[in-house]
Amino acid sequence: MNVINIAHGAFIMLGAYLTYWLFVGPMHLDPFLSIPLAMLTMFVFAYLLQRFVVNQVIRAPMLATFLLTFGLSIMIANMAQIFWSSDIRSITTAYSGTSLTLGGLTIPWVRLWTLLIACALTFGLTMFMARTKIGRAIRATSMDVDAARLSGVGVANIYALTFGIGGALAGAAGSLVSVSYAITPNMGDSFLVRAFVVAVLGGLGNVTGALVGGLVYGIIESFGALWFGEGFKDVVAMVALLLVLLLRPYGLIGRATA
Amino acid sequence: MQRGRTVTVVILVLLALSALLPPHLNGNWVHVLTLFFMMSCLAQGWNLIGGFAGYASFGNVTFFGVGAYACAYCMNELHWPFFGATACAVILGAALAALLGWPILRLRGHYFAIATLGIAIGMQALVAEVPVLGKGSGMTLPINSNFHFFYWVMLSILIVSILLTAYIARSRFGYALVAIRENEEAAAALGINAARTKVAAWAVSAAITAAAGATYAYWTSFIDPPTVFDLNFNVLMIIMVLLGGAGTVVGPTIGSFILSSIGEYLGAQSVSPWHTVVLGAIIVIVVIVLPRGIMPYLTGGLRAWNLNALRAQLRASRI
Repeated sequence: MNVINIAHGAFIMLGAYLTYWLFVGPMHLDPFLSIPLAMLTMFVFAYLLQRFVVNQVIRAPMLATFLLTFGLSIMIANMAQIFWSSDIRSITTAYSGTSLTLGGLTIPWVRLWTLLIACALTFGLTMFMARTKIGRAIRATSMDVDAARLSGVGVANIYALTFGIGGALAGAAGSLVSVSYAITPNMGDSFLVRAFVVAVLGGLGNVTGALVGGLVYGIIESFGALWFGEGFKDVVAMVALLLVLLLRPYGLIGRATA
Repeated sequence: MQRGRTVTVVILVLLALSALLPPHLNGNWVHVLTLFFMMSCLAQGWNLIGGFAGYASFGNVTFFGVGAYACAYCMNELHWPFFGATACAVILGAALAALLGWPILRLRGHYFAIATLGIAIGMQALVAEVPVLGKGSGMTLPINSNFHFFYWVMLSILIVSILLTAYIARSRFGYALVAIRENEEAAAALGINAARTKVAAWAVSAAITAAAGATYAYWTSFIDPPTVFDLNFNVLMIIMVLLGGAGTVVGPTIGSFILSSIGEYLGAQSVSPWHTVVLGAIIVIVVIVLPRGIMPYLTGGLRAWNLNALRAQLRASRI
């Protein structure tokens, strides 16, 4: 959609907090079960944000959305700090320490489920984008707003829906990371940069690209740390990013678009 | 256009006059203004590549860090005087931008933005592993507590960078950059060597940024990778340029002034996260009301009291 959303990290943080409150609250909801709830909440939140705030500048010159979402991001992160304090929180479930041992491999169950759910969500999103009417409208709007509008697409609504879906996925990501990482008001920052790098590595504007990018990035980072030392893992990952972009300027499986 | 030049001249005169201020200011104000000049330099630098050429760089902070480390290395290890070290930093920054820009500036839009982000992150991690640069624990430079000196140096870099931008804006080179921003294929068809022009713009941008970085290193006398490669510097550069007006001569400095003033005003009260919330809200409102920054209002393209024009502009950005 050509909108750089700096608030994406803040959305992930909100998803994680939501999962946390549901877990420590009277319901003791399992973090994995609160994914749908986090997705729904974040969908509504992101939809309204785009509809009433971001849509105001969608046609403004370069980077206006970047600046706007940056403003929103620091507002959200700091309000989280005001209301929930900057204490580090974490979710420990009964199965947190358990893992699957397969041959010589030890895989924590939590991580395995995270991977499976991420794959399922990616598959669902691919299908949604490829098969449904809304998915087609989203793709049309991102190719050419005016042509889409002339063909009867309600573009204001489509922009908001797209942002809402992005928000829902950030909410799901928040639930998923809440079981493995510490929850703080500023936790979003570290995910934000990675989300950008991963999206570009795979190729923007396609869903499978994001998954491929995520896997490749994760593998390169881990092996970079293993072979060259922990300190060089970012260097290795970023050199790999640059090499990929030089050979494939639109990402691993991306294509040039007008 | 005529009014644009008037605004530039007024800002330059104000900056030149501010050179007389330090003896009359207390230490805190000298610090605040030096920081303001530094951030303005960074914004002016970013404006050349991001504003004129339309290539949103998230990696300009790399040149700030490289400039700071080059200065520290030259002064500590080679025992060069400060100005020699700064010259070295400027040359190194420009050379690095040219070297990286040659392949990277072929990427378009978000791909360029993220590639430059990668450079910034990778360079920070790399510097943190080089023994002669103090690895992760940073470098301590000779201490110079003559803070008026840094005030004047930063101010000079800023004035030079504004004059440079004013010159570029009216030169063949500047027009070529704007042509590239508006339509790169059309620019190439007109005979503009797009690759060379973009690389040159990034090198000049990097040179200004590296000069500010070198001065910053000597000023604070201690640098480490997380401080001088801080991505927030880069985000601030972009915000200042967009607030003031991208692709204008003094817009970045005006944007920097607005942001510094808001920051100072909010910071002058007690410190709490509410300030950042208010800052975020101000940014959101400003972007919605002034999507092209403040310069169109100063140069007469738009008038603040012409509500119809304002409404038309708001409608044009909305969907």
